[in-house]
Amino acid sequence: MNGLLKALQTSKEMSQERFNELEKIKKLDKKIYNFNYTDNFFEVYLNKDSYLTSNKITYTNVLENEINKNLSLAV
Amino acid sequence: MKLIPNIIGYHTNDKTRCENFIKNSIGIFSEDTHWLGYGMYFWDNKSNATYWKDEKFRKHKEINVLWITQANIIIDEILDLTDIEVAKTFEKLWEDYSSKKGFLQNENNEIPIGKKIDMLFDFYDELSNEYKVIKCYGQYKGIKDLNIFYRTNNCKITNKVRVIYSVRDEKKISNPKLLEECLR
Repeated sequence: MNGLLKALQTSKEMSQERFNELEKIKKLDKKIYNFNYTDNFFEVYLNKDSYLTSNKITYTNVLENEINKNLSLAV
Repeated sequence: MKLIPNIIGYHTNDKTRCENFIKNSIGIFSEDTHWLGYGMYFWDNKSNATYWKDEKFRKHKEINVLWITQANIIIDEILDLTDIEVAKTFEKLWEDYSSKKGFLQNENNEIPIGKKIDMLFDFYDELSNEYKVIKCYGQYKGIKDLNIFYRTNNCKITNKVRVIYSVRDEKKISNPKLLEECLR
């Protein structure tokens, strides 16, 4: 639980100004989180990097071959 | 010899993606709102993966083939939300974060838990650096308890709870294998 406790301590000691500054540095102040649940079986990310850049892949049978090509390129 | 703590996780998905997962070690990461946020999701037993297969066939009429896969999930860096002390600390962290974000109570209530987890992981390096796997219990109210539990006085056992793992880092997944090919 060390990481969690460290995060809590960091958070408690962080000023509002520093919080705002970090949000800007991490570009989280402008990040839009999609709160609407969609059980879309065909959308995935390749990895953490693609998640952070919101590079979601839509997966359909029609696009299957193209996506396979992209997956190969990503490797 | 160093022992690495791990569990066997079960994941159901369409054949093509599972093939890529098994042959090329390409994880199947999704974004979830009401569970654990970003990650590749695993059940801790095959029956739950079979349940998920049935759900997917029911919801997606266009799918005719699904694969149930298994893999070893390395859990040395786990955020275990089934541990109440961990969950309480996580809750405190969210309260501090949301206060600094200036969320009103009603806004706070509307943010799905998966997004709360993602927000905290995005902001606090202490979380994203230390925790690569998250574990929770899912409550499935629609599932009926088995008679042997339901019809036994003072029975404390239930079928309504399921263990779910979300793996946020593909390095924590190893030995992916095909367990079963399922046809509609």
